[in-house]
Amino acid sequence: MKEKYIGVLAVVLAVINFGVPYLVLQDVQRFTGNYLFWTSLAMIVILFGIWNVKKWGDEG
Amino acid sequence: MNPLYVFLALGLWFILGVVIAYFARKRLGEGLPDFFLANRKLGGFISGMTYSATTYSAFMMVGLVGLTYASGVGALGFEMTYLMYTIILLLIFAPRFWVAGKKFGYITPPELLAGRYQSKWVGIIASVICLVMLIPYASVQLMGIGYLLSGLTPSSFSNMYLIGILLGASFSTIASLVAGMKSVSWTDAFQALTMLLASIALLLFVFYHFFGSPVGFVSTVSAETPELLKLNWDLKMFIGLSLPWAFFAVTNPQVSQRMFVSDSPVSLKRMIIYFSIFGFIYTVITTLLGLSIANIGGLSISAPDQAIAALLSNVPVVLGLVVFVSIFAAATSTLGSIILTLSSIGSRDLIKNLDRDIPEDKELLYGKLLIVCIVIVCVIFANLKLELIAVLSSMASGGLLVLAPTIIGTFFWKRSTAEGALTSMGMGGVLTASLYITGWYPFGWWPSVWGLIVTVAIYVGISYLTEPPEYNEEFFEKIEEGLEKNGFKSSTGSISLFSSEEEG
Repeated sequence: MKEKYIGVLAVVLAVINFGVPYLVLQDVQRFTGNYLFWTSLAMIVILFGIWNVKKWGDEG
Repeated sequence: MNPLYVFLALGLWFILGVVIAYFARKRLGEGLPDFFLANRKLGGFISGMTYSATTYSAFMMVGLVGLTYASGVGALGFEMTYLMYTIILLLIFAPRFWVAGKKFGYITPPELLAGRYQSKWVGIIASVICLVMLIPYASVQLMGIGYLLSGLTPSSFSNMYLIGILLGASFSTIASLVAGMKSVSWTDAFQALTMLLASIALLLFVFYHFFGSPVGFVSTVSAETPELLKLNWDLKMFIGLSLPWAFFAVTNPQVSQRMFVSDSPVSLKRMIIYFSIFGFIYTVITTLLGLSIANIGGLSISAPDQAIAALLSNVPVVLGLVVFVSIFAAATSTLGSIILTLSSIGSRDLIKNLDRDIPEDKELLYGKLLIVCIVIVCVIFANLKLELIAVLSSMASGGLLVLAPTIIGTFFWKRSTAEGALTSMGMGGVLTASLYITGWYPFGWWPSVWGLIVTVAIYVGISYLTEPPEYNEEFFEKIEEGLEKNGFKSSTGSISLFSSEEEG
């Protein structure tokens, strides 16, 4: 079931989204720290979303 | 800024908006779905833009810019968390809302809940929660316009706050009343494009005028204010603020209702893609503006929310006016959508439930009257400048979070019952509101966190203690059937990366 995997992914995303900034990058004072991390993570999620919806309606 | 310029810009904007709203009126049918959902016939671009303009309010250019200016990169994390989870929720829920709307004719999200749980009280309680939480949130949009207008014009001009409120209220009322969802979505699209283009123009000007180039900006921030690139937010605050926003796409009816309006699965797909790209660009721009303002000398900023106004008074007049109008647009587009959604909820889920035999034309009339009533209430609230409004507004997203288990269970838990939904929404709502109003954060965790934990526990517990309606099976089967039929379950397997079993 597709949604189950997206659900699991949402939990993994939560761990990464809160874990990496607070445990790994908290003291980094550069753009390559949390700024780059969150923008990159969001871009990955956007690409994942586009990839997931690309077949919608194909068999309608 | 010269008030004459401000009013000329607003006047021009007003005329354009009204013309667009009237154009949208053409080919408008007379039924309720026509008025409240544009007869479920919006294309992908308009759907995506109305979703973006509804969800991104004046908070972005005023609140988020100020938050980044004052507290740095944590603000970006908070807003990106919202964006990422909205995309994930749309992937899961947009097809289901869309199919349910088409199959059962639902117009509002509470109507969907009432239908699925076979209980009008589930719809009524959900509606009351939406009204209580969203009217203050809508009023704050008007307050934002009022403060911005009075901040941009000389203090010798009195009543600018009230004039701003009345202008915003008038524009939103016209956009909602002329052709309902159709005029709201068309003006939203116009407003979304204005918001995006104006913010890009402002950022480019700031980069080249104040820092020489984007590279100059990066070097200056890295050298002068590196502390803003460090994560300064307390983890509990970060989670407390982000959690309600992570579920915003399903708990806020003004956006979840937009999952009903697309004309086809392809348009729904485009809505998600356009929104994702819009949200990403707009978030990056607003946070970069916040970091910029912190590195521009000579700006007089008394509070973080004043940061953008301080910047606008130091850019060329035309650019300042365009950005001001774009912030006005962000506020009125969010306000117009909330007003329209609340009026549909009021007429469909409250009045209709009290009088089942009410004819459709009368229901529509009540809906239109409700638009006017809700706007008047918002204007009164905004003009009173009550501190309570600010509290209620910040409570809005946390308060609406109590709807999350009931909405998620609607599509994913056959065992869930109306009793579970009712008790969890009612008790969860009272608990969350009490914690916000008293300001009590047990063990340092925010009310939204406690509200969600308690709501889930009650929803699951009471559902297990009560009998689910037999209708649940039928509802789930019909939704699955609709998903298959409309090509949402592609046989090519859109997440085959994870497993070969996901096709079913």
